[in-house]
Amino acid sequence: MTDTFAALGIGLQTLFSWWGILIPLFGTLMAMVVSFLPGIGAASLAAVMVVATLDWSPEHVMLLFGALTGGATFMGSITSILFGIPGNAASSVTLIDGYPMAQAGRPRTAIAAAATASAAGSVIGVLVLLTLLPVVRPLLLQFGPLERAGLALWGLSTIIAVLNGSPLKAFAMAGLGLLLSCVGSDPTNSQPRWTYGQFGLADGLGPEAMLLGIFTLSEVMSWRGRSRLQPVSRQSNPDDSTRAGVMAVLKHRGLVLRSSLIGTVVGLIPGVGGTVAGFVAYGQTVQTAHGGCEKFGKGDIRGVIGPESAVDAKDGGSLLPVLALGLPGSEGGVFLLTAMTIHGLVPGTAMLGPALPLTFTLILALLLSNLLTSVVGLALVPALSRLTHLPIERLALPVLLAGLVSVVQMNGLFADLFVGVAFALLGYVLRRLNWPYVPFVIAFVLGPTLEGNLALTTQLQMLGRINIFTRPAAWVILGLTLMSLLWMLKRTRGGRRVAPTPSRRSDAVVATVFSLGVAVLAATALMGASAYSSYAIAVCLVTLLACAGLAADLWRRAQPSDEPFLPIPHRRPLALVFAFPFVAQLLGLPLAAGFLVLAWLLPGKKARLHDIARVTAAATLTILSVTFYLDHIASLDLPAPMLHGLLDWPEIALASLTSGGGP
Amino acid sequence: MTRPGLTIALLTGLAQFGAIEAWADGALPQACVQRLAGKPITLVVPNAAGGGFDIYARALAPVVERISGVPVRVANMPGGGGKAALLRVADAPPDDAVMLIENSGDVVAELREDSSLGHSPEDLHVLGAILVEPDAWIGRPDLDLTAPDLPALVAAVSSVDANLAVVGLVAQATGLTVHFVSGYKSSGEQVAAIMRGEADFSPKSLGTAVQVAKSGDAKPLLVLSDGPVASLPGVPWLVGEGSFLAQRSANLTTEQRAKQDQLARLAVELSSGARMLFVSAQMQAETQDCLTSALDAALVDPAFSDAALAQGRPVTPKSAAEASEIYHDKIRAYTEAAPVLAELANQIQP
Repeated sequence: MTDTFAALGIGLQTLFSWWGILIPLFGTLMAMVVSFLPGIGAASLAAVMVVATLDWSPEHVMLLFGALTGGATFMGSITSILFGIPGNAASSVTLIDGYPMAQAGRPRTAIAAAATASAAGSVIGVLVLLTLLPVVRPLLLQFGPLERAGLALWGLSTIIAVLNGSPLKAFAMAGLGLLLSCVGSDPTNSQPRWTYGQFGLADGLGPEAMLLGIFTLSEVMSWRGRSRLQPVSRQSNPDDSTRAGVMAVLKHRGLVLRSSLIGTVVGLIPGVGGTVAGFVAYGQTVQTAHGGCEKFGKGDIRGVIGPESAVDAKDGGSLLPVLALGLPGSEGGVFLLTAMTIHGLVPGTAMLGPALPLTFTLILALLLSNLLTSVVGLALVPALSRLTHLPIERLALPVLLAGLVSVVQMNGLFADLFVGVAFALLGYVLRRLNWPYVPFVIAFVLGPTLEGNLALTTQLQMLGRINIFTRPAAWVILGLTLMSLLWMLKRTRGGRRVAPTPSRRSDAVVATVFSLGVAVLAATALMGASAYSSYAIAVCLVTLLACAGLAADLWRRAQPSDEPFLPIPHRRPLALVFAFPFVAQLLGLPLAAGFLVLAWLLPGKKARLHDIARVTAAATLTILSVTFYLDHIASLDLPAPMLHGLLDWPEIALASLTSGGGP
Repeated sequence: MTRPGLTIALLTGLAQFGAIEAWADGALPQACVQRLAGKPITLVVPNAAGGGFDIYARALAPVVERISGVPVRVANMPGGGGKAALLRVADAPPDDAVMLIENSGDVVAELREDSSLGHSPEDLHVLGAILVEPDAWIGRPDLDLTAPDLPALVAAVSSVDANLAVVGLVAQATGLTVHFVSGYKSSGEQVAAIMRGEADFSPKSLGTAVQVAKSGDAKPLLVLSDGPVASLPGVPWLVGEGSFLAQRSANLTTEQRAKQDQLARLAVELSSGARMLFVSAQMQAETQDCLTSALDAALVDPAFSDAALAQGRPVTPKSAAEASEIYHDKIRAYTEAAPVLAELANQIQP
């Protein structure tokens, strides 16, 4: 114990030095800025920093990587709250209540609550970790495939907590989420499933493409023709203040503590991640809420505080598997591991023994970074909250373009563009019909964790390598899952079930389309049985039953509606987004971006010459900017487009400018 | 053809003024400097930034850039399990200076087994190798493969198909009974499975085995080589004089021993990792020759090996001719082993 305190002292000494302050400050600010830029992301920053810090001392490297881990987490929540666009996967849960709060004129309160909850979560997470440090290795080894599968089940049970409306719709959407997460390849034999010969789908439908499509692209498409985020008015809600957000966190301190503990435990389990921490915390927030849970999903501040505490508390937990076992659970963990290797630090018992001061340095830098991010976040609340008054019609196009380019950049695959756009259209339909898309997202994110770990557990059970009766952590998780389910039962019996209401024909049509789509997948699975596990087939058939049942129910209650399914201002953005992947494949990404700008901005019948010139200039600038971005910033090398000869014109134009003559 | 962008445009312009020739460091013939001028070289990595291939690529890029005098950029294309990167290079037009850094075994396996890619291993040409090293088994610290009455072992792997040679064939050659538990996605998860007692061992590259040995979480059990390996002293090797197989097959007939020896040598050939640099076989011969010259100089340049080693990645460079021989040996080994591996795949059910 004395050694531990001595190591903590050395860690603190390292932190409270000039470099100890400056390096985390630099890392935090860099991570905060980068997490705002589309497509680059914290992982790319970490990759650059691994190389840039080759000559640094191990202490300084630990300070920097602790800060990089902490700096990026909170900033993703800002865009979630203000624009309904999650900056990263983990902050998508903050959107559920944060975005409605901003729409209701309370952006300051929401951001302040998120910043304070993040800081509190981070402190609690680090304190718990410091307590657990002596037993961290045996603790980590308690979490195997069985526990991870249990955790995924617990996460799925939180779908019940976010139910608002028809349970059958939520069930069908969760089934669709699980089913689409199976697309790709079987986790045990790597046989392709539902890829239809497209190797671009071999890794599955990317969660990043899904989140970008469902949350960002589908939202932005509806911005065209709108002057600002409605119904926010210039006169903000009089109750909206930074103080209200901070006080709300203090008022709900029990919630902060519970959520932070959840986040810490989830963070300890490699490969599970902040998204699960956020959703599990959200579920328990709703389930343990006093005074009713009707406001959740409509702007309840507790729905911001719970997940934010958990997601930041997770950061500390996620470092320990890297340090103690060399087991990275995220991209950030991979880079930390690489940086450690470069500097001769071997993960394992050494990091909890002789190298314990370095471990403390890393944890303390993370803590400092998380606190710093929250302080900066709080200081910027007034400025950030004013972003909702930006003319969003002008923001829509850049955000859309950044989203579409980012989605290709992630894996260098055009297939991801099609996937992102498909999810954007799905998200749009769900938003228009007011269907629950959160169950879909939760199931999609948790599906691979559930399936992969169930498959491992089954194999280990058959070989006698796992005994479920001697796994206390699994029983705890199972108990918590059962409590969630009991809560659902109580809630349903409590009369909160929504009375059947007449449905629109468009609802029934969409449910029928879903049923037919799932039927095709089911037929594919049954014909290619060897490549499809029992799990995949079961998920497919249950989803088919749910969708078919939903369609039948909706047709029974369907009534004609005068409201058009596609409002006129949405038609052009929808058509353009739908066409974008095809144009990109034909002409290449830069020209497709230019085409999008041209078609988006082109005025109607009364177009004047200078309008056309302005729009053409904007399109040309976009083409050159995207080309520059892909070549020099993202360093992305996409396959040649079908009409690649057309792509040469920017090069020819620039070459002729450089040489001073014609091409 | 690559999407050209500003780099090409500016370089073309500069090349016309003769400015670019001044950038090369003189290691490359002047004719090659002129041929490569105006065409940036792209080094395609089949993984996300941060992995082993990425580290090698980023260490190599500035050295090739200095030698050739043209910018070299690293493009990460992890999509489709690395197939996007493979196709990017295999489908490259003849005038496109694009190279792939990849494991020779993976290239051969993917191009042979996935007919939808529309290419064969011969569609790629090897320009050099960065590292050639055997694989190894790492396992529980208390496990001794030479112990009598060894019970059935459990191997933690990502997928059965990808480990047929490195586990299945070795087990068949040595008479060990091995069960697969497949679905552990990363190397770290496989090591953790050993630590939790879910599995007894897992196959790894030699470099990873050395790292794991340092941590003490698992120990190297067997090197899949035909002789002892200096970086893992005292660890048994698979085949050859004094090997693990020699000990296991001591009581067998000569004929049986020969058969097992053949299987083990096939396993060694199939499993050895060779990180190579590939271009499309359709690339213009002159460009190919110039890139080969540039790489021959870059791979033995201390600036490259020092940068890679500083990031924990050793370098054992091979020239284009040597690397090409290794690659074609790999293709031959896969052809020979195809029926054995198919039979193994049928026998093993995860």
